[in-house]
Amino acid sequence: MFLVAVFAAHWLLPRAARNLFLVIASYFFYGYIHPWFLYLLWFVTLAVYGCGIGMDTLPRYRRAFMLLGIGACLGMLGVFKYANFFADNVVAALHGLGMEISQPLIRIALPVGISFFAFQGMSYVIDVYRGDIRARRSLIDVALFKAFFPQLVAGPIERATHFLPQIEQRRDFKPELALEGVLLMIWGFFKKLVIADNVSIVANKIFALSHPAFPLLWAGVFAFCIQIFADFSGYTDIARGTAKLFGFNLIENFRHPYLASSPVDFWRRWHISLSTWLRDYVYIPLGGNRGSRLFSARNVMITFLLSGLWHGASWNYVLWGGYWGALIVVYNNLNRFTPAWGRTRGLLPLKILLMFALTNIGWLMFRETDLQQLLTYFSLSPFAASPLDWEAAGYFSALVAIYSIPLMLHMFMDRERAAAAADAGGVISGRGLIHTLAFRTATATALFGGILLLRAASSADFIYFQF
Amino acid sequence: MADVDKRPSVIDEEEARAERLAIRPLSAAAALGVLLCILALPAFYRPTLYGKLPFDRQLLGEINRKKPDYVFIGNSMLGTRIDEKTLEARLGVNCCDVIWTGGAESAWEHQVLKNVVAAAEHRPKVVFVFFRDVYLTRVTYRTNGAYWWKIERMSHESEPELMQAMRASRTWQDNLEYDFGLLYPLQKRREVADYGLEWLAGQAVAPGRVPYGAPVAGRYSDLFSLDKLKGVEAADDAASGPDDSALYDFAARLPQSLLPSMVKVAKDAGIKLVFVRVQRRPLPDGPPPQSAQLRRYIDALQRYLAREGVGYYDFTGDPELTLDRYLDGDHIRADWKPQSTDLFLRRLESQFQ
Repeated sequence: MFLVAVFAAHWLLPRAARNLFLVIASYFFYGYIHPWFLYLLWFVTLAVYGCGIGMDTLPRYRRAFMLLGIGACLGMLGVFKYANFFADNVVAALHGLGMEISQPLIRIALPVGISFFAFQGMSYVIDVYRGDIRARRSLIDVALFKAFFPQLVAGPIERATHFLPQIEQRRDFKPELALEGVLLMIWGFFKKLVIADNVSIVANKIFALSHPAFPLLWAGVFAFCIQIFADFSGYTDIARGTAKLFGFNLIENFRHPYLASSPVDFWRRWHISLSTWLRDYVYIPLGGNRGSRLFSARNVMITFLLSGLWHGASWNYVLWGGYWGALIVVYNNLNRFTPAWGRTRGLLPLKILLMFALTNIGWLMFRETDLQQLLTYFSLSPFAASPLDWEAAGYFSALVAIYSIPLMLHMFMDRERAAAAADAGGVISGRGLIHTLAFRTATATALFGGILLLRAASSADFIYFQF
Repeated sequence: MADVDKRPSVIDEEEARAERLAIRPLSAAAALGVLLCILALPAFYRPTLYGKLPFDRQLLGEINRKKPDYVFIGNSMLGTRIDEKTLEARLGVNCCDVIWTGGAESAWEHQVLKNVVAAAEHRPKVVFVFFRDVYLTRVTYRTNGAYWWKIERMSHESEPELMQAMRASRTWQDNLEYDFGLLYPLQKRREVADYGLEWLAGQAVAPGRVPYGAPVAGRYSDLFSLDKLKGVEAADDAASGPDDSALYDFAARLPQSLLPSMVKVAKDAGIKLVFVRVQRRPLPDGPPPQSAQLRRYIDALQRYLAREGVGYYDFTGDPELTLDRYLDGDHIRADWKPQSTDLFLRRLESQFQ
């Protein structure tokens, strides 16, 4: 209802009023449940806007304004996302030293989407400082860049260089963009309501066990692996589709990550807006791969440990980030010694399979927040499982695999589309069955029918809302 | 507004690789129109496609055939506690009718009492309605989607009490979900799809041994029994009751609920009504924790029922309902179901005389 009303009003309003209207609508969207969260959004918006203007008008203090802007974003993150974590660890550390202090009485609530809009704010300040973009004088434009409701709570993390010019340029309603948007939204809802919500039942059931047998545990991890992809990429598709209805193109966040053939390849396909953010604002400024192997490895590890911490204030996320960092360091070094192995196309399916297994090990660390329990999981033996455990694991895995069939079909269709685009110099002509409008419309209708027929009885929040 | 693009943005690199779809605006508008029409089609044809699910006469036929003196109404908490065969062994053949369905709550129970039990040719002596915590006055709980269809199957064309209670308590999200259900009756075939997918997955592990429509996951229930779950106490805390403190205000919730209507239906039909509060899974060393607001709510409920001359029994704190009797938070283990039935007969002996 909200979307239909905002969509209609947006296109009926005069052009000059559209951005302001979208800002107001976005604030309504964000503040509907917890109005006080809006203060944080306003704080970050004003801080980065002010720092941008400051850099423009007082060039001598550019660096100070940049640090101030970053400090405002990180400070807010520190208080609202990491304060509880910090306090808990201090209490635990002191307890370990034999000093007893009580837990803080006040627990700070985590505002939804805070990590996303904090990172987006920092990117604006850094880009202005670097001179990649000019500081914007229009507070409304900066406010819309910070608060555009489809991507506010779970990304993609937009860059000022990409999104601000779209906000500033003249937007006309384009049916082809709206059609793309509706198709993307239907696909996104299907992924969330049918795939993610249904396989989450399997994952939750298995992760509720204190000592699952080896095969059951990995069936649960497999379910979570599908759930988190369908859930997060589903949200991204809905956000991108919604943005298209308003004439915006948000960046792509996923490119079939489970087809990755190496750890580096995985991060080119998974949560692209975060991985490129970290690459541009952390890894490269740290020195990237310029320097010794040890120096490069240090930079990779710092970047991925930060990536883990970005996801959540919990040690399991840090461990998960460290795991990915270590995988990339090992892969980069192995690749130097065995470059031919990396180029052998015949080994591609094997590499994808291996990468999928490694990704699942990572998801286990991501899913289980209790480190003690995680240790228990890693000590499980496949030989201790009963035939019933294996049968149950087979059943649940088969169920998850069935729900994943649309994802596999989508991979196939995307490969076809990419191949067709490559053949035609990047432009798909609309010829060929799967590229025809009729086919795409029929597919969307079938997906909608699928949502009605197969959606889970209850739907949980999107996983990435908590970050 | 020319940007100073000193270095190529990674995003621009991404976009440069991205494919572009060549669609004429007119074709796209036509496709968009067709798509939206298809999605909205059921709304246009609602009078012919949509109809309330017909009243299910099976339960009424069964009660007319059995002519039971004692009827039990509830959800799976009743289904796992009361064994009809044990009742018949103790009280005689066709003494009782146990009417339950998974996930049912007060709206469904109201409809069964009104349209099945009170409408039967033979009026039972006592009707026991099972419930937990605040759910007798939480009228919209489990009344959307598949739950609503179950309620429809127990309803006639005109149900003023039910619809008034729904109107008084539904939020706009509930209404949206409800309207969505009306627009797209295809959802009513969801169970068929669920069975199909489970059957397919079952074929992967036990080819030919999993009949269509059988709950395959039930084969593995022993792997997920209570003693194998982690964080039992945390789970109990989470499930100990809804957070919304307004739900514990009995005086405010009563007029919006179907409880007064249930009392009236029973009185008008000359049926003795007894509400039975089940106990959630207890702690290893005592009864389950209850918040102060829940205790106040239960006191107010008891006073109301006593005023109306309606029976009430609370199993909370029963010494025989120990943790090892439970399958999970709410359900009793299947192998203890006969003993649970005996316990019920002993505790409510006066109702069977």
